Amino acid sequence: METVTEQEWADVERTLQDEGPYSVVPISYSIEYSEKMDILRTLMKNNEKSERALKLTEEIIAMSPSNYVIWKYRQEIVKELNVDLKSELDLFTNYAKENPKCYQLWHYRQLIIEKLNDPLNELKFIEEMLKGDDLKNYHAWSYREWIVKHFDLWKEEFEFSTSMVKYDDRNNAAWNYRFFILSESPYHDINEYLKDEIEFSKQKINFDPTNPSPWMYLRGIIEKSKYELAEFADELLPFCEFLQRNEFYKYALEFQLKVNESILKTLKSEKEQEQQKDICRSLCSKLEEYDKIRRKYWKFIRESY
Amino acid sequence: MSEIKVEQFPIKLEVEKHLKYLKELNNHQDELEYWLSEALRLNGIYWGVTATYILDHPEIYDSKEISKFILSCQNEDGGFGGCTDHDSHLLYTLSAIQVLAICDTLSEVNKDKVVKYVAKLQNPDGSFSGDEWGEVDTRFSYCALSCLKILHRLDAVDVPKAVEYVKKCMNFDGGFGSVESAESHSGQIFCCVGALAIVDRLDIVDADKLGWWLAERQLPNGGLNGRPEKLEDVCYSWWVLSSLSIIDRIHWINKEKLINFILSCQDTETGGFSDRQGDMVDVFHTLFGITGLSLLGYPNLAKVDPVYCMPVSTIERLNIKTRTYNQI
Repeated sequence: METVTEQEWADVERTLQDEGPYSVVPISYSIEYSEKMDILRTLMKNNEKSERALKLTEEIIAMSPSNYVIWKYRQEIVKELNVDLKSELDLFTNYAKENPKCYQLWHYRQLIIEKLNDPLNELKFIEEMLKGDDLKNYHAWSYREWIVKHFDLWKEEFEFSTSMVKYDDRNNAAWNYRFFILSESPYHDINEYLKDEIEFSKQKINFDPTNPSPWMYLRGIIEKSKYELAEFADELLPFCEFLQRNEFYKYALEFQLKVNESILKTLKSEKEQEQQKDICRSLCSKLEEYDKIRRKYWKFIRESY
Repeated sequence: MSEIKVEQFPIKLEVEKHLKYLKELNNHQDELEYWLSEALRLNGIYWGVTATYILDHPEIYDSKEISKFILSCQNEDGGFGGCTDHDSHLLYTLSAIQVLAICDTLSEVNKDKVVKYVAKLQNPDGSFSGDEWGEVDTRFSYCALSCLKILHRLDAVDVPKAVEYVKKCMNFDGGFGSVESAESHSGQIFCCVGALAIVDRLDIVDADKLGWWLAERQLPNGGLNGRPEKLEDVCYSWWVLSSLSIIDRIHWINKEKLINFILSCQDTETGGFSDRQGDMVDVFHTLFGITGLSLLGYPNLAKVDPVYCMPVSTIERLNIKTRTYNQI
């Protein structure tokens, strides 16, 4: 990247940053960056929309992409100069890879895609971002949800969620995405998928009962469907018990508790209710013992029946 | 309620060192690249000023000079930029209003202009954009409502619509995300629960379910994480803890272990807190380490309000208390 030279910007006065009389919070960017910003402030004041202004914004973004001031200005220049939006998107793909957590870079992509009214290869790009950097990248997942909703691209996404969960079954973001597809997609009926999803969650739990995500998903997906947890008691309670034939698992105990609470709601006679409450209380006692750090939570729940 | 004593913990809160660190932020330039960019300037001032108030040593900074500088960041549109000559953004507008409120210099700002700026950012679905660039996020719902409440001008926006949008961002696990259907995240939960508390609509929250999700964030080392299967981080002691406090479930986590964790993230030589032990300190984590300890009832700290993340004394002076929050 070129640095700012005297010649290139000879005609532009510098608008220096007012640090305030008492510099409580100092600024520590390099001299190069600070000089570029001084020039930029002048360009913005003069509302200059030129090739050189476009180039300067890119140089500043390359140094500090989260400087929000640049982005709106760049967008205005891009519009004025009629810059090809696809090349603009390509240009920022590399910056996105270097700064995967930068809010502005993601938002800028979304604006461009919205304007082009074409999802292009964004789904592929997001997948690469997830796999190349952080499988849980919050921005990437939210952006994917937006793309899918905005362009009605639901159909392949259930399979995508399967592949991402298989890629890393401790990735809660992937589980959340699967839940999003089944609960929001107009092409997927959660009730039709329920049986398979229970099976899918059980497989993942069997593989590692200490993974919180499939437990959370299992409960969420049943509660979201037209059924109650209690209606699966005959299948899920023995599953939890078998799982714990050698040792207790906190999430299994919790799940048993949730199913038993659901059963409690169906009972009419006081005697039956009291027996059921005893089951719940004894599960809470076990949790107090096995999940010591949250002992007070489990005590609260035990005493709430 | 057992009282927390300094002697209970292997290390103590290094108040003097933190004050020195906050006072000498100017000399730490190389270490603070994470947050020290001019665009974040007003956030930085808010983090630093609030930290000194909670440490009960507000005299560390000259509040008149600070207020003067803050006021110089207000733009024609009524909002505040991250620094002078920067475009307005809700994130900095809230920081500006918070600092002026804490320094008791709110009377010097043109409030009507601020209110107009904030109100303009509400979208038809009730959400708020961060600035005219348009990014939507529940963080901005919090910023807008907190700002307006401090100015006693909630009437300027459509509160029921704002609530409706926050409600849409509630997930099956009881938590909240940045937008509809986005994964539950402790930081976003603070924003949503805080926003609902400000407008007195906590009835929307499933407190037991959310409280459980938040309590699940505590890891064996006592620290709290932001999402399942993520690492602990001092800033989450604030986001998680304040949310638990707002929904009256703060006693569900282990306070001694959390205090231990937060104290272990201090740099006992230079002062300041880092995200976790051994990392570089910064003023952001310093504030949230200190406010977390305050909420946990650590001795000799000023009380912090969990909804506004400002000193309780400020909230009382402003007369905007949502209610009294129990410390552990």
